[in-house]
Order: sequence, then structure tokens, then C-alpha cells
Amino acid sequence: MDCKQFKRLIGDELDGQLEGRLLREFAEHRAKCRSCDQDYLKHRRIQLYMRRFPTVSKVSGRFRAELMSRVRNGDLRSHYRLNYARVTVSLAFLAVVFFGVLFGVNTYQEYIGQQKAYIALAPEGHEPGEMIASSRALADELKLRPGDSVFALSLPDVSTEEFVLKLLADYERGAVSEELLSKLAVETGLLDGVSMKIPEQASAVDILLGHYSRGVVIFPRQLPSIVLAYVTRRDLRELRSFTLEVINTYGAQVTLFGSSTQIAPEVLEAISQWREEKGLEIVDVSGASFSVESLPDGTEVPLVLSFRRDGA
Amino acid sequence: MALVAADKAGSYNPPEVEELVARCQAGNLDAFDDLVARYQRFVFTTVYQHLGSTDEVEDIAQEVFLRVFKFIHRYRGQASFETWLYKVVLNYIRTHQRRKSLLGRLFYEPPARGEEADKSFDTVSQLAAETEDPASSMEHRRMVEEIMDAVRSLPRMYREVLIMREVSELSYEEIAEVLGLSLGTVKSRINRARDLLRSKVKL
Repeated sequence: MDCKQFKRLIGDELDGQLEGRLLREFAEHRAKCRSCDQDYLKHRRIQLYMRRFPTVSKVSGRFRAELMSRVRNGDLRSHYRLNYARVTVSLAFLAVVFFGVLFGVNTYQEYIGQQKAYIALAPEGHEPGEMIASSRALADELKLRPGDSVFALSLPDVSTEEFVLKLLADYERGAVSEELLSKLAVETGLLDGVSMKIPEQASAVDILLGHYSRGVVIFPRQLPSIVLAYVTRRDLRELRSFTLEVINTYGAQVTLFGSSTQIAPEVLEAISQWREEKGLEIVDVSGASFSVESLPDGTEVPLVLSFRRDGA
Repeated sequence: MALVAADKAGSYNPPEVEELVARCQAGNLDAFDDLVARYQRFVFTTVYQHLGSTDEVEDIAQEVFLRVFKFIHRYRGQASFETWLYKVVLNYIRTHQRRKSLLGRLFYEPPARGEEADKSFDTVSQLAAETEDPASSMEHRRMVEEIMDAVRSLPRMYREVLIMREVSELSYEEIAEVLGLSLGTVKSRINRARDLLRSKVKL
């Protein structure tokens, strides 16, 4: 028997499974190989010590009494409790990290844009939106007749830029028609242009998800916080469903003119005047009473959009 | 350990254990009380030897017996009751150790403890009774502690089989039954565990 065979048989010997010729050869090798003998003795000593590991000698009656009390009271659930608050917080944190890594979120606005391949880049010298439409200008421009309907949508928590980005994002995924996009963003002058860019360092995840190209939205130097547009019945229906999505995205307080402190006072004043002087009906696009069924097909009606005034 | 060795003549269990288990399966609480009395030392010892410390042994033993009470109807007599009980103990220790891990501590709240209660059990070193020379006894105890530390530092898959084989003195078949492994795997794990332990212990 050589040393290699000897070492392989140590376990069997410790377990008492060696017998006959193998046991004899094992003993003979031990007698002539000091190194193997010491190796075996170390194994044997460890085994003997392990068999002398402390044991429990006595358990008091208290243990059994407590246990049986739990059994008799039906208290069988483990006393370890899952901490639901910590689990929720941890999962939320992991979700944020996951989506953050996935989409490379820098800002919420960028997330909204990047999700649908649009990133807002303000042009040099860009200034926050200012109120450029005065009440008189609005009133003059509208040229309304008594009994006409004015459709109004106020988004006091959404900036003009955010509105345009969201509109573009929804257009990208087919939720908003080109016609509505054109009427609300292009004809109103809110959008100067969109160009596509491929980032130099697109990550594998970006490429996999098709986010390797980015649309760069070019805004005019100044953006109004109040916009007038002419839209059809179909546009209004589309705008209403778009608005509900905006509310879901931004948690915006979409309110009818007159109830929001974000609306410029001169606009509120003008609208009040129209109400009184011309008997206009003002319809909130996001309101419960919204209805366009009475409008004839193809007829364009005025729509006043109002956004958050940055810096206000 | 004599406690673990099952009487395999005819049945896996002695007749009184068969009868006790049957009564427990029928929902008899007095029988369960007797079962606890019979096996509490076995459960405490097994938990203590696998944990390597006396902390929490009592809590774990209690949870083990509660599991036994809940699931004893699943015991079909395909192995000795002690082997089945050993499996319950080992599974609960694994669950407990998961809860004690870093992630587990984040999600689980340990049971509320009242005032520091006295332990309800005593441990005994088997060396004390066998060694008359105090110096020698001290040296032996130190060796046992060193080996216990080394065993605790082994990866779980080796630690478990080694304790089952060398401390609890379970047969290869019983270890295979408890762990749900083949005999060959058990044997190779034990050999590997012995080699690892040998390299860690200075004797």
C-alpha cells in the first residue's frame, strides 16, 4: 500500500469499515510510514474530541411548560416576524435603483423624455417661460360671439416644456396624432424643431432596449405659459385622454380657470369679463362636464392652454 | 450518540415510540407532552452542537417542537422518528441562520424577549467525567473548543455532515436520509470535511 492509497482509506478506517487484507495493509503502512501515521493519528484525535463535544444534560420543566402552553393556546406561529415596512422600503429602493440603472435617470424630466427617446436641451440663452399673452390680446384674438364655447385646460403643475415633451413622447408611441401635435406644439410656436442624435457611448442596455438614439427637442428662446390654439372635436377628445395621462404622470392639479392661483390674474379677469359680457360657456377639458357631442364635425373651436409659470 | 441510533429490528422505532407518535398524530396533547419530555434533550443537544453556542438554543428548540406538532402527521414511518426529527431540527436551524444573516436581519424581527431569563438547560462536557487530572482536563477542553471553532468555520455543507457523523454519530444511511443525498455524496462530503478540519486544527 502506498501513501496515496493509505490517505484514501483513512476515512474508511475511522468509520470502522476496513477489514481483512485492507485493514492489515493499512496497519502495516502506518508502522513503516511515520508521516502517514501522524496524519492518521491527527484524524483520529479530532474524531475522539468531536465525540466529546458538550451535550445538554438537563432541560428544566419550564421549557416544556412554556411550550405546552403555546400548543394549548394555539400559538403555533413562529415568533420571528417579517417586518413588512422594511421589506416595502427595500423593494421600493431596489426598484428605484433598477429603473435608474436601466434608463440612466438623471432627472424626472429626462426620464419622461428618454423613455420615449426625447431629451430636452434648452438652447443657449433660454429663459423660463413668461407670460406673453395678455388678457386684451387673448380677448381680441378670440373674436368670440355670445354663446360660443371656449375650451380651457389649466395644468398648473406642468411647465410648457414638460407639456411639449410629454406630447412628443405620446406622439412617438402613437397615443397622440400628428395633427394634434402640430396644432398644439408646432403651430403655436412652442417647438422649434426635433433632431435625432446617436450618443457616442450607448450602453448595451440602451442598444438592447432601442434607446440608442435620442431626439433632441429644440425650444424657442422664450416659451409662453398661456397658449391659444384652434382644435376640432376629434382633437379635443384626444387632448382629454392625453390630459388624464398627464395627470397620472405628473400628479398635476388640473383645474378649471378661476380656481388655480397659478393662473395670471389678468387672464382670470378676462375670462370673468367674457363670462359676464358675452355669456360664453367655458368648458374644462379635464372636467366631469366635458362634452363635445354638440360640436359639428370639422369645426374648429378655441382652446386656451395654461401652464406653470416658472419663476412665478 | 445513543439517542440517535434507531432500533431497526422489525420497525424503525421502539414500540413505545410508535405508539407515542401515533397518539400525537391523532392530536393527543398529553402524548405530545410525553414526546417532548422524551426528545427534548436530544433536540437541545442537536441544536446546541450545530449552533456551537448556547444562545438561542431554547428558542430554536421551542420552534422545532412547534413544527413537530404541526407536521407530525407527515411522518410516515419511512425512517426512524429520530431521523425525521433530526431533519426537522436541521431544517429549522437553516431557516434560523438565514434569518440571522445580514439580509435576514433586515427583514425579520427577532422574538421579543422579556427580562433576561435563566437558561432552562445545562450543558456538560463529557471530558470532565473521564479525566481526573485537572490540567489535562483543561487542555482537553481547550482542544474541544478549538475544534468546535474550526467546525463552525467550515462551509455549511461540510459542517453539517461532519457534525452528524462525528458528533451525533449518525450512520451514512441516516445522514443521506436527513439531507436527501446519495450515499456516495455523503461519503465524499465527509471525507472532504475531515480533510478541511484537519488542515484547520493544530494538534
